[in-house]
Amino acid sequence: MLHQAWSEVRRHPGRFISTMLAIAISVAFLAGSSVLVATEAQAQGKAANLPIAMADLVVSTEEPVPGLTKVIAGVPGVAIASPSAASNEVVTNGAISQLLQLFVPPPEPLRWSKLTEGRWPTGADEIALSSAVSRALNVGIGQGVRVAGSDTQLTVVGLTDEPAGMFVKTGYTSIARLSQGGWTEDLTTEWAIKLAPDANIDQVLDAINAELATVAPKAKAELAQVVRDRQASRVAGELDAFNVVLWVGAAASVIVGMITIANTFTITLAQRRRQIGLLRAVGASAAQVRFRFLAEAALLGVIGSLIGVLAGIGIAVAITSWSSALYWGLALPWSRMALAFGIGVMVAVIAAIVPVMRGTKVAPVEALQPELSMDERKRAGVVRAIICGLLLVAGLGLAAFSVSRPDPNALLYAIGAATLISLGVLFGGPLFVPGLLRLVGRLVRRFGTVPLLAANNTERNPRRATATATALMLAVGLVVTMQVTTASIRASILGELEVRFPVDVQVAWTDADGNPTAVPEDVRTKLGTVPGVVDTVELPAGLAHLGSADDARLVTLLGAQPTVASVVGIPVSVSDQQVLVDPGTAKNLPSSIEVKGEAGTVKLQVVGSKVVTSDQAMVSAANLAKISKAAPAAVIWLSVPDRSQALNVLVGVNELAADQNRVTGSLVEASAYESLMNLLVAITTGLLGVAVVIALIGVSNTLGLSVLERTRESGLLRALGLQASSLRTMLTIEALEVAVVGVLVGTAAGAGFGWLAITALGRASDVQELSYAVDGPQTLGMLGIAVLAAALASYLPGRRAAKTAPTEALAEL
Amino acid sequence: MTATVAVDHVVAAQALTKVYRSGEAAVHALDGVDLGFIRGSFAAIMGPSGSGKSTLMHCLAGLDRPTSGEVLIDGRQLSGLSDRELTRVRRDQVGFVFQAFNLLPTLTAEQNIMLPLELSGRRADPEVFAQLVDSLRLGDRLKHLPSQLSGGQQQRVAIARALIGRPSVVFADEPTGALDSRASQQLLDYLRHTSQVLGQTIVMVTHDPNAAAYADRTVLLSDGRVVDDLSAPTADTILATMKRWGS
Repeated sequence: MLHQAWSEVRRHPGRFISTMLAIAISVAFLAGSSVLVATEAQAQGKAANLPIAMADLVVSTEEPVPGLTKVIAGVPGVAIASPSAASNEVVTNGAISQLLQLFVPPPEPLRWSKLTEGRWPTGADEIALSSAVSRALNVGIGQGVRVAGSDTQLTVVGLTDEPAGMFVKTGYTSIARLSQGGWTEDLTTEWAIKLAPDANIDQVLDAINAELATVAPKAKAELAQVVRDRQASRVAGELDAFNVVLWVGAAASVIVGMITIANTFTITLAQRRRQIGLLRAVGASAAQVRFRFLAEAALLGVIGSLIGVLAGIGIAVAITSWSSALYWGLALPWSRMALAFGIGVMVAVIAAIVPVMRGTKVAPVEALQPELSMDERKRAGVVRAIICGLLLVAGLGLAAFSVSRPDPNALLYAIGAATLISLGVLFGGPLFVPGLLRLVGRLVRRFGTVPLLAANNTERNPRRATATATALMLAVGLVVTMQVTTASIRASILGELEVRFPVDVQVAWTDADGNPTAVPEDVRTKLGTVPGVVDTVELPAGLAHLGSADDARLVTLLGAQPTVASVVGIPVSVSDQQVLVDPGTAKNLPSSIEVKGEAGTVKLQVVGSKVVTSDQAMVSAANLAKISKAAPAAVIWLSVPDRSQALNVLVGVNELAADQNRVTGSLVEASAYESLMNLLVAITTGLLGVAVVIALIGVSNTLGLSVLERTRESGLLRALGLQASSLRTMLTIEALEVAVVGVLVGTAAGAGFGWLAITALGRASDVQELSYAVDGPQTLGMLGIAVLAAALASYLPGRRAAKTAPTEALAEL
Repeated sequence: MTATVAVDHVVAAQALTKVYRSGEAAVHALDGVDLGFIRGSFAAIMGPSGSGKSTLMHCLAGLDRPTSGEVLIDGRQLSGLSDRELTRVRRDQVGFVFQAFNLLPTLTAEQNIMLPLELSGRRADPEVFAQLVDSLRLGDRLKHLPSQLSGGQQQRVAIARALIGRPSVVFADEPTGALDSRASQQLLDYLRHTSQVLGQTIVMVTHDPNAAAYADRTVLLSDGRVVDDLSAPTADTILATMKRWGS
């Protein structure tokens, strides 16, 4: 039986390519994403822990032990014990700044990067940069960079080849420079160790630990691999959200793949009815026939999965070399890859079971009938309607329940509800998809003979068209759900950032006693010209006590200005009866309070607002004049809407302020949040896009196989004078009809599920109400691409149909 | 034999050859065929399986391209025409009736009949349509799908479709092959009627001497050559001739 299956696959590869492709892509997704995550995590683990990247062993200690370097180096088997020496510094060239982790290059076998140009730094005024950093700072060898906030100039003497990590950007410094900052070898807390060539790693490990136990009980040695893995898994753990998305994407691609495979199998079996009848006629039992076709499915699964695993590795290599994680080596998680392979084979067989059961119920006599009716016009069953109805009712009920009240588990309920509704919609496909197709067909038919033929073809096989549209529906639905959810979270978090950290950057001047003093004139004018700063507001300030008691809190009292709201980006209003304090302070104060300064006291209503910090309060300018004797313009708030400029702006402002204590603000936190959110949205869309691609392959498959079935018809049409180009147009219209239905239903469902997810997320967290948002251009763009791609998916089938010789219509069966 | 083509030949073949290659072996399906069919004639092409009669018809109808030689329809050479132009010739100048799978299963009988006109963007003459439908007794079947029609009805729809555009020539490939004897007889009567009364040129491929007897000329093919050409044959003369050629 197996060799029969093999010869079938070998002789008619075309018949099986589409099935194999669907399996291969699903498996490639599973295998590729696990290789990708492992490689990225390994790279981040190494990049975040560079000094031990090449080490065999690592010694770390909680507190420095003088002379420990010599002790470790003295253990037999240790070739090199290199103390890790590093510092973090912001270096600047013009308006561009970079936060660098600067290392002292260790001896050769422990070095993780190579010089591409120049030499390693030795003098106190020298620095080497990784090429990526040198490009970002726009400096080359022989040019200078400045340490931010100081006059220290460093000359770039070397460039290295390692990529810029996601979290860490690297440069190299010298012992001489570190020593100037007070560093000595005795302050080391970590050593990278390289073994002598013939040393046994476990023996040396034990020897070092034995030695450490006596001289430095708080130090210990570990295998470097163990430390690196720990770091990698910590990074992977930080990418938890990423992992969830990955699994959703993988599950989606597997399910969509399964629908596509089942669909393809149904069609190939329909084409082979005569073959099946013949097998039965010559005495094969129904069970034998079934086994034969399942063996074929398994064989396809094995071949497809093998191709998929290889393709997955290839894709992961391509992506990691683009993201430069490949620099740190490819990680192949064998168990995950084996799992992907197994899933591929299983999916192929499972997807084939129903079509095989249905397709092999062929009476032997069918082999002898000259003509087969390809059309099926079965009515969808009542049982199906009842089951789908129950699923929908249960799903909608659970959805209503999940959003009805605050509950930490609301999101779980919502996911359950979405799953039930999805199942209802997907299994209910035969109940409503044919109707939708008829509706679309009615519109299409008016445009002439070719659209009429296309619309008829789409409707002639409702079950098949439904399955094809359903796969697309599922994929598009998931993508839209994720897009809406992430767009909403993104909008909400960005909104939240505005509310929580309304002041991007604050510059405040005080005298030695802490009294507000006017910001110097030249600083005031220059602040507005720092690149990235678009707006500023100067606030008069004085000191005041909140309350009249002895323990009344001393705050910097700010006088409101009309332009405050436009600078901080949230509404700010202070009437003459109000004082703004931060929300935490407001809770602990009475509803109205005396604000007491050197000039006088005013009783005001307490209002909570995030615009001020806990050591600030804000009153109207008129009140400030009544309370404070002098109110110099001591505080300036800056607006920096483009958060990617955060570091450059901070460095620029700090240099003007000349004292870091004068500069505060939320810009850096806000910029970190924002870039993370943007990354998540991009990754989500990319991953789920794969599911859409598989669904589109399904469209192409279905069409391609229909074309095979309709060879005679195509020939007849060509004989009667239909141009080849019209035949292609016909298939494009067929593809578009199915795609439009799938995309429309998927989008509607996705938008609904997105709302459900966001609302449930709001119910589950007490943060704040999340606002529903759709990224219009992104979502519309994705839908447009899906429809266009569906038209493209008709290209190959169309070409095949157009190639049909007219004589095929007359050929003997 | 020199290739002479009479001016009133609607369809003509000149030194037509068709060679199929499968690996080393070359099969001469047609081996220098010269033929012409005058306007209003009803001709049958006969011959045993593998004699090349289907290939001949495919080449004459512009469905297939000959290896060498020339086909003319209404005096126009088909060689050198692009696929697009050849398709237009089939659409506008040729009508087809096949043995089976004649009709598009998704179109009603009426839509099937109108298909060639729809494809060329022409309008049907309502009188011609009514006359055709009436003479083929299809009036109450127009809204039916092919699967709801009997074999005879399907074949009559196919004939209506072949005739609706008033083509220069109608090719019929074993038109009675899937019909019972009564339906066959009616169909052949109708074909003869259209050629005699309406002046429609018809070329019919068949292996049935009784069907060929309805034609006013029978061309006999063997091994890709024309071996005999009978005028006003009867079933008996055809049978006798066929026996002579060993089939």
